[in-house]
Formats: sequence, structure tokens, C-alpha cells
Amino acid sequence: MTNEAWQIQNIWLGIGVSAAVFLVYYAVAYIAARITKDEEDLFIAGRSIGPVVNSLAAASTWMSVATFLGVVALIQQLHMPFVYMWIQLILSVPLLILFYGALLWRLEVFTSVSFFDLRYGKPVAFLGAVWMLLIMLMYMIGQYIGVAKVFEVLLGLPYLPSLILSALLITGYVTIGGMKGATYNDAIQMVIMMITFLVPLAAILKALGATGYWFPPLGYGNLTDVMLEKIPTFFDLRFDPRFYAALFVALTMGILGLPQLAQRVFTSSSIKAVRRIVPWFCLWVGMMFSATYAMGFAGVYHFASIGETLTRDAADKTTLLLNLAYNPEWVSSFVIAGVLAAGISTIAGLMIGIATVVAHDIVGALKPHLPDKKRMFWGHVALACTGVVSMLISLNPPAFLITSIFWAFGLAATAVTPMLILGAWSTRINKWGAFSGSLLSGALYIILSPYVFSAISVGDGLVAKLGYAAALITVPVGFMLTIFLSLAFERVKGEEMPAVLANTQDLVEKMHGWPSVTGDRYNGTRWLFALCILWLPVLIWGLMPW
Amino acid sequence: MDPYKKEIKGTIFFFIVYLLICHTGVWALIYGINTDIRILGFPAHYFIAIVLGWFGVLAVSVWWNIWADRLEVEIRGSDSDNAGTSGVTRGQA
Repeated sequence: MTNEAWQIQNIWLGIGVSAAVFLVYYAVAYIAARITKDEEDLFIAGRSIGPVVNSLAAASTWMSVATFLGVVALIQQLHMPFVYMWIQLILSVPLLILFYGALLWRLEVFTSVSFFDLRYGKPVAFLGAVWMLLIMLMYMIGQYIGVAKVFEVLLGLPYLPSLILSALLITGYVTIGGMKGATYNDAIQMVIMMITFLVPLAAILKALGATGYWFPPLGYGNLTDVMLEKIPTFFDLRFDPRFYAALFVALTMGILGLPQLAQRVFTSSSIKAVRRIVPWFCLWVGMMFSATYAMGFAGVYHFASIGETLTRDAADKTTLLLNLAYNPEWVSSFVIAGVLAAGISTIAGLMIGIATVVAHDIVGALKPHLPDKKRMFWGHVALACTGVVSMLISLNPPAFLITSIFWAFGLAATAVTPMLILGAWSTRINKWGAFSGSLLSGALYIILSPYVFSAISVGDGLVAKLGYAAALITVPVGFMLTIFLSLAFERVKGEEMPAVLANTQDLVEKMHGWPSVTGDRYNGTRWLFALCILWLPVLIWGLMPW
Repeated sequence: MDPYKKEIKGTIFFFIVYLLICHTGVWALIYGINTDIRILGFPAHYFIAIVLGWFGVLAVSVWWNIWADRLEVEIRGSDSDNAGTSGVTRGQA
């Protein structure tokens, strides 16, 4: 199958639609720039965003190019297990808000790194910043490459100019509009994504003979028998229980620690608005995820019906191929706008995440007395530099930065999530335990993965590449080390501890909404030991050969 | 129940419920799959995974919102009781 098969014939139609949506994004960014007055506006939208817009923006940040392209290809490759793998990603925002999002909102922090600074001090904040920048950079480069490929493959433009053009366009509007512009643009992009994915999908399903095409997420059940005739293993579980356990350990625990989603929560106008994000987010994301499975099903069904086997590269374009096969060409130009919306909304969230960590958390920590105007100036510079530097890295990315984003989730689960969750729920976790636990377990995760020291990596094939095999060891280690080392340092640092514990007690109780401190909340150790005991069998399971 | 204990137990409870409804692959492994058992034409395990992964998690999220709003009121009420007896105003601890 050649590139022409998934390119639209009328390139100007695709370029026209893409240009029109970018004009809208720039207009929104321009309006947002006029009401951006200080650093709080620039990085957390002045804590003014309501739950519907914020949930759309969070959903849009969470939906990436993969939703339109990669996922459908992976359903073709992995069938049912991939659906199980993807479904639990909806838990990102619900669990993040349940465990710490609402709590951190009360502290008026800008990012999770700001929380680390308040809770543990600067060394842990810097370590957290390093992990988060690495994770966000990996994520961002993948999105840049994805968006550039959309320009390249779907519109027929060369790759290098596609990458530079798309990166500069995105960097421009995010730098101008800051978090306010990005939030409203993200919300618009989510609406574009839903329309450009669901409406053409309904037409595709109708053409394939699905009786419930008018409700694409669940409207193709009557095609099951034909699917089972063509591919009898489509609904099989295929993998052993450890694979499914690893989905929880590496992915569910990893997405909890993603900084770009946490920052969305901090833009909320009230604590209730933070909570209300959760059901709205589930509505939008559930709809898109379910439609993605339908598109994957339709893709597998279509190509099995015509007896064609797709290459991996062609499978990535299934959404486009189906649209070109069953819908008029102008529909495909709107689908391209949807793919671009998916990619750039994710990039926008990551750009602001990185810029906030650099300009607010790191520069702010080193130069705490900068006047507001200078903070704003350096904030804009950080946004522009984030976009340009990421683009330059994307031109020729080092191999370790283009490993699967699922691997980065495992790193977040190992090095970030333990000190976030434990720090929010226990006063007994201290800076020494958090720092050593995060550093050692994070390093262990990298060592056990196949990308640096392949000779000592655990597992092989998919579970090793995605970081599942390593995470099954390092996530329990991360939690256990953080707990045990914190309690051990409590004894070693005897004289310092009363003051440290008093400050921590004050902060943690405040986070949970208690207006006065009793001094006896969240300071037990029994549940910490119980948690270690619960992680122990997971660790033993992870140590067994795959 | 003491709002402090309620907060901790409730958070663990909702975490477990979220996991159960979004990790239905584990259920399928335990109970096995049979593609002849259908719901709306889909094999039951596929249908359950999709519906719980959308409407299930949505319903739990609405439930959690209601619970968390009530808990917040209880925390404030309970804390004013505490502050009057054994509690210490923040900043004095």
C-alpha cells in the first residue's frame, strides 16, 4: 500500500480546513493574551476555569494523535487485550483528583513540583522536576513527530518542513495565549475531535452494515458473528494474569503522576469545580474511547472482509483509510483537522507543563524575588523555548526519547506516584525517604528496562518494551523504599524530626481541608506497613521469570 | 462515623471500585470467556468492559462527587467542634 492510498486527492481542501482551525486557535489565544495579567493567569489560568470547560480541556490533553491513529492499529495487532489496556486509562483524572488533585488545589500550587517543594523542600522538588521533564519531553516529542507525520503523509508535504511548520504554529499560539488560551483552545479541540471522529464513524459503520450505526460506541454488535468467522481470536484474552496485573501497576499507577493533567486541575475556580471535572471528563473520554474501539473493530472487520493484510505503517492510517473508503473526500479533510486537534492539544498541555516547571518551579526557586513583570516575561520565554527546543530535539531525537509513552508511564508510577500519594496522605513520609526512594527506584526502572543495559533487563518482547516487566518490580520497590527509608531517617535524624513533623502535620491537615490542626491525623504507621505487605506479593511475582 | 476515618475509608473504597470496573480483564481471566454469551450482539466480556469503562466509571464519579461534598461539610463541622476542645489553630502546631 502506497502513501497515495491514504492521502486526500485535493490537498488544498485539507490545508484549507487545517488553516481555518489554526486561525480559530490563534484568535482564541489573542483574546486570552489580553486578559492574561500575571504569572498565575499565564500558568494556571488565574484559577478561573469551570468544570465543563476544564473537563473538555483535560480530555483533550489526554487524547493524543494515538487516539485517531496508533490505537486503531494496536487494536488490529493486539485485539481484545489492547481494549483492556486502553480502558483503564480513563482513570487518570478520577484517581488523580481522588488521591491528590483536590488536596493540592487547596495549597494553591502551580504544579506537582511546587507541592514537592512545599512538602519536602528543594532537593526533592528538583528531583521531581527532572523526572517530570523527562516524562513530558518523551511524550511531547512523540506528539510532534505524530503531528508532523499528519502534515507529511496525509497532506503530502515533506517531513522536515512539516515538523518545523507544525511546531512553530503550535508554539506560537500557546506562547501568546498561555494557560487561558490553551484551556479554551483545548476545549474547542475536544469538541472538534468528538465531531470529526464520531460522525464519520457512524457513516462507516452504516456502510459496513452495523444496525446501531446511529450510536457508534455500541452500535456494531450485529457484526460480531462475521468478525468471529474472519478472526476467531479477536475477543480472546491472549495474555497471562501477570500482564493484566501489570496494567494496574505500570499504567494506572503511572497516569496518576502525570504532571500535565494535574496542572489542569489546578486551574479550577473552586474545590467543587475540581471534583465536578471528574464525571464530565469520564463522559467525554468514555465516549471517545468507546468510539476508538468501534473504529478499531471496523478497521479489522473491513480489511478482513476484503482479505487484505495491512503493514504496521498502513495500519496506523486505518481511520483515514476507512474514511477515504466509505465517506466523501471532504469528510477526510475534517478528520485530519481532528487528528491535528488531538496532537496539538496534547502538545499545548505538555508545553505549559514543562514551561511552568522550568519558569515557575525551578527559576522561581532560584530567584524567588523576581518582580511580576519579569516573571511574566520569563514565563513567555520559557513557553517559546519549550516549543522550539522540543522541535529541535524532534528533528533527530535520541533513541531513548522515542520509546513508547507507556514506558514513561511506568517511570511515573515508579519515581513520582509514591512520593506524591504518600506525601499527601502521610505525615511520616519525609524528604530523605522521598528523595532516596524516588532516585533509587527510578534508576532501577531504567536499569531493568531494555533500553540502557539490555543484558540485565527483565522480561522480553512487548512487556519489556512497554516497561510492564520492570514496573512490576520497581513500583513496589518505590513505595517500600519511600516508606522504610522515611521511617529509618526519622530515627537517624532524631533532633531535627519534631520540627519537621510539626510543619508536615500543618501542611497535610491543611491540604485535607481541616481549618485547624489536631496533630494526630495522617500520622499512623500501621497503614504504611500494611501497604508494604500488599506490595510484597506483587514484587515477588515481578521477580519471577516472564 | 468520624469524618477523618470516613475520608480514609471512603477514598480506599472508591479506589477499589474504580479498579474493579476498569480492570475487567481480570474478571474475564477468573470467570473465563464465552463468545456465545451476548449482550446487544457483543460477547459479554467485551460489552461489560466497554460499558463499565464508560458509564460505570461515570456513575461512580457522580457518586464520589456527592459523597465528597457531604464529607467536606462534615469535616468543617467536626473541625469547629475540635477547635473548641482539643484542636489547635493552624500555625500554632
